[in-house]
Amino acid sequence: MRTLVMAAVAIVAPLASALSPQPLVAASRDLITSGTHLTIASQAVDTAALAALMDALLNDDDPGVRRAAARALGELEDARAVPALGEALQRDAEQQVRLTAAWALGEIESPRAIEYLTPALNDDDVQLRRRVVWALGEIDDSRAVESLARALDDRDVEVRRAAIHALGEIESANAVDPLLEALRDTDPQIRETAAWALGEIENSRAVAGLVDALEDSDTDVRLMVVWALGSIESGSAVAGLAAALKDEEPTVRRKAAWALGEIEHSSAVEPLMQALRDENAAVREMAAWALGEIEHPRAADALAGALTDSDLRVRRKAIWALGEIDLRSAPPALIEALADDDLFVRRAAAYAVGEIADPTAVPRLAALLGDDDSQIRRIAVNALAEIHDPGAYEVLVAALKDEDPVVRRAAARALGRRY
Amino acid sequence: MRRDLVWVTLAVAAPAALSAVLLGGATPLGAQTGRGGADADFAARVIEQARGTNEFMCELALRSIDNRFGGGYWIHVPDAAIEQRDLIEWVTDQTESAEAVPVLSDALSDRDLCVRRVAARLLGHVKHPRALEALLDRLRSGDAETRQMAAIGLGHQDDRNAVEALLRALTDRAATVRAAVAWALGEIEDRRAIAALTRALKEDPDPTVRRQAARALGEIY
Repeated sequence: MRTLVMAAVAIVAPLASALSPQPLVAASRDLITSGTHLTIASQAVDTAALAALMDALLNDDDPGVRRAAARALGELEDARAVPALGEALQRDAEQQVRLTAAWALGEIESPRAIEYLTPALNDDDVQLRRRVVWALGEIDDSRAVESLARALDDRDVEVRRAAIHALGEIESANAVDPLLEALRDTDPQIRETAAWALGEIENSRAVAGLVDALEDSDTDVRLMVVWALGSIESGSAVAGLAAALKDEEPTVRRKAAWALGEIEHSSAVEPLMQALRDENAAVREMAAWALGEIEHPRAADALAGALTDSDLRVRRKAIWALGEIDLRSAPPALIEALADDDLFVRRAAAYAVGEIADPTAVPRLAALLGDDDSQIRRIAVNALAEIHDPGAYEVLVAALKDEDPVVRRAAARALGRRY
Repeated sequence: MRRDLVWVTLAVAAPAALSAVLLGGATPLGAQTGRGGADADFAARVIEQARGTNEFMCELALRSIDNRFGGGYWIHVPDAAIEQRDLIEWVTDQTESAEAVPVLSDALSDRDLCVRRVAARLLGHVKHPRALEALLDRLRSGDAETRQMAAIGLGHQDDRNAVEALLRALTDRAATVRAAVAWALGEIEDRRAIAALTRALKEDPDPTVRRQAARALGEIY
């Protein structure tokens, strides 16, 4: 203990004598954390006060004073205190002082603390280990990954979970392998958090392991795994996600459709077309959305079929998707939808037909100019503007007399642009 | 005037404690609050309610006062304790009249601990130059416990004009006073206090003073 105290004094004393006369201009923390923090234009921490606090932390006889000093150093967030706090974390006889020192190191967020925090991961006290993992996560530096990966083997489930969470925050590719291992943990919450972390890291190396985890017995885990695969957006996940479209849980199937829409890979078209016939409307709706994202013409017929879906949301989404796909002609069902009872379906259909610019739709679009909804009339005018057809010209001229000035303006603009 | 309130839960006990300690429960003092000369009387009554309260209940009452003044404590005081509003209104009024200051100031030297503490807290919340003046005056009292209470009141006043007097009091011969002064300087967060607090942390023989000095240094930057 004697030599340790001497070592601590050796750290503190030169700081005190070298820096005490004038206050530092720049907060040293910003230099030490290599520019990850914005420079704060506040006054620098008083050097003499800092030295006195570090001295009290390491040498005061009273544990209450040492703890108060650790707390104060954490409040001051000055990286110069890291070695002293690290020393206290490793050597103080009082657990409360060590806990507070770990907290302070997390507050300071300096990567220099990693070397002091890492050995404390082997401490017998579970509270201290949890605190240390939290602190490593706060530091948010890829050099902490190795230490946190070691904490994934901790016997305490909370320590493991906190470590996974920290790894997800740090988003380092080095965390992928240990997290894939955590994906096979016995605790479902651990597996779920691991899947979340892998989705945050977005590294394609995780895809194979995540696809395997699509077989997980826990629904929440599968849901998070599907989310992670959608987040990573790798084409190699398509086959696995296509299988997840047949999951027993509708929430998982819907999320799988979402993920396939994110990935936008054409090999997902067939399974998504099948999902358009899912028994659950929320799944069908998301499948339509995904097909609209992928924009593959092969899906046109299936989407046109969905225009007669019993569920309104599915019909709307299918119409939108048809507008997204680059088709040469509008499917008859889409043109039929221009006369749908539902206002939103008519709007979406008018918009989609304008995107496709099919001349056969002109009579139906013309009929929409008698619609009560002025927004539909405006969408119809804009759609007609896209279509190269003499019939469209006459309808646009007629629209110049519309009661709504916004529609008249749209018609004038369309005529001016085109003719 | 016995207040043997049963412990139920902290959340229930806190407003109950405030009502019981400061407003006597059975006799709602708010009804008798008037303007002008009544303020001093009201202050005397409030103070009298605190007499003989045990440490735990007194602490809850103090925290409830702070809670009402945005002190950020964890206790939520429900509107059920409606009489408390009279007290709050009354203390707020003192910002203009300060008529109750002499009564509260005298109570800082009361022989009853809870009376002293409640008085210090209320004086701390009365943001009036005369309240500050009274607290600074009591900081020079011959009685150590009065000086300690005055320092606590000044911490709640949170007024930079008190810093120099507090810095002088940081060398008080009583450790309890020095600890309260260090705490108050941490509340005021004036950088002029850093050097003296640093010295106290390094040299004060009393651990409570050193602890408060360390805490205060963490507050000031």
